Amino acid sequence: MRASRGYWEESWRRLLRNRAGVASGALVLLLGAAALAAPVIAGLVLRQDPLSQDLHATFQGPGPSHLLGTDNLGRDVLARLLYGGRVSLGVGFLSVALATTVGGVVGVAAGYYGGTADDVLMRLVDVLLAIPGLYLLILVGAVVTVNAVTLSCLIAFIGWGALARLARAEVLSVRHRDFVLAARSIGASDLRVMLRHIVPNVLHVAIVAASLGVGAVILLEAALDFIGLGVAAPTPTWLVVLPGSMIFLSVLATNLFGNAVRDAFDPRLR
Amino acid sequence: MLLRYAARRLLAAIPVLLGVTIITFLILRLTSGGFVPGLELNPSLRTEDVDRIRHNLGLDAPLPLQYLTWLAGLLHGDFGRSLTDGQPVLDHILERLPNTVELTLTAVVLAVLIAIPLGVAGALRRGTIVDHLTTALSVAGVAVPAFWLGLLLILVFSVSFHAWGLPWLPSGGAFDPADEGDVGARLLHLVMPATVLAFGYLAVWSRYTRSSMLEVLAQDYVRTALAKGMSGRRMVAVHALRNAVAPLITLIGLELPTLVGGAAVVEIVFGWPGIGQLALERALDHDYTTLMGLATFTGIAVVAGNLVADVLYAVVDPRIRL
Repeated sequence: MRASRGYWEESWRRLLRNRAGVASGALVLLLGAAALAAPVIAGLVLRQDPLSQDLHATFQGPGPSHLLGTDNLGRDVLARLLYGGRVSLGVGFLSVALATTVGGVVGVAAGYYGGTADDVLMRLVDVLLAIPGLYLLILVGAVVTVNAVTLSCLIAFIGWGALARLARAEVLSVRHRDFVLAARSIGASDLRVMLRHIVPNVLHVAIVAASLGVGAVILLEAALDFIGLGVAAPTPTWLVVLPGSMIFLSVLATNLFGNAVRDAFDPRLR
Repeated sequence: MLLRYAARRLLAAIPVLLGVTIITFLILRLTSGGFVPGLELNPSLRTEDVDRIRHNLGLDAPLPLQYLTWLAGLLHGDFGRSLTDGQPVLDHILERLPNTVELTLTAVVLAVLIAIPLGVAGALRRGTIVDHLTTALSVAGVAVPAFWLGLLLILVFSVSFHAWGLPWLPSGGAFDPADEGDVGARLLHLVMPATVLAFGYLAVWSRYTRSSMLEVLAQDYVRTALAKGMSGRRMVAVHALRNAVAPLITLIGLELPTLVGGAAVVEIVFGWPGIGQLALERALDHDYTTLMGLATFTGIAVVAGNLVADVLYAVVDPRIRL
């Protein structure tokens, strides 16, 4: 019965059957939508600007004018959360997308061609995996000012190694299968064999690694943000609690969704 | 045999270490340029003077030459001198290192001591409330930002407890400033940072112990032992635990880079005078010689940690030594 459906359709169905997976996926979408629509929500609905200060109204509790209160400079906390979410999720998804692309290309090429190129690339991966990422980011972040895009590039630069290693291992396991040999024997080019026959068999590794990677990057970016601000002066409790819980919620949702994706897409778990 | 295995692993570690220093060097020098802290902004220095100082420090040489000079020094055990205060970089690092080692070791021991019983309990009582609770704890544990947990603990155990007149924990530092040698005060200062650092790893490692324990419990030798009348408790102690926990050693070794980074964040939250704190201070000063020294040192620590983990694993699991 199962053979009648393709791998992707079957995986997709399994994902939709997983209630925790659907719920966390919906939460990720909701958080993403809120972040994307931050200017609209903050500007038109709340009529609050995340940057405008009001020094006469600092440290206010939740109320009708500021739904979640104000911070030490009298800025609206809800508006700041929405805009903060843009950075958190943006860096999370962008850096994982970059790292997955680079790691996937390197891993597939290294696994497919083997030989010296493979040796050199995998030693480079060994090196990258031995660098304490957060440590290096603290150093670089203190020396130059980073924006969301450069930070994503840096995180991706340090982070692609793990995926390259996974993808390569997966390529090695399919490289000598009959369907690859068949494709090559009818004269398919290397590029065509890789794109049409190898990549589809490796893709599930990339999807799983990527969906589990987003949460880790959000935590990394939050830690950097925190350090950039320095240890805060006495701050009312809800200001510490709120952004932290938003980060917690985002990471929890992406991790749970990542677990559901792994359960659905990893053929070994079938 | 074991010695030869260790020697082979040691040889393989050398190029990795070289690579770590090259990449750190490139990233740091390409971002910070030939900056000498405090000089550019000093109005009483002429441009020629700044250039001369830069020349004397070798900062105007081609980058490959600078790297080789630095590497030559390193091979003689010379980490260079700090650009900020002219003191040997190694002295700065060695002054702070014991504090970082104290913090990370305590956290690792704490995490392992809690994670293994939790994971074993989850596996043995699979599907019960115990299992669900430990699973929930581990799912939540990996999602909690460490700095946030640190701030919450400070708010509760330092600020609120103090306000309520309860015995409170110190919110920062590693020792009582009035009496540096007071061991009791040192331990009190250690409680919150070590807990925060241990928390994230506890989540991952208990999860890992649980799944690897489940795998071992399904093995034939476990069934054989039980069939021959061995008690469940003795079976877990003699057969299952050892086989389930051995892979954890490798996992801890692999987590070392994040452990070093995570320790840096915790050090900054709690004002813990370790090398992570030092790295942030010196990075803000663009003191690149100290930063290179720190990066090399942490790189060595990570590679050495992995090496120790590999060798330990070979000791625990003789099948690896082939």
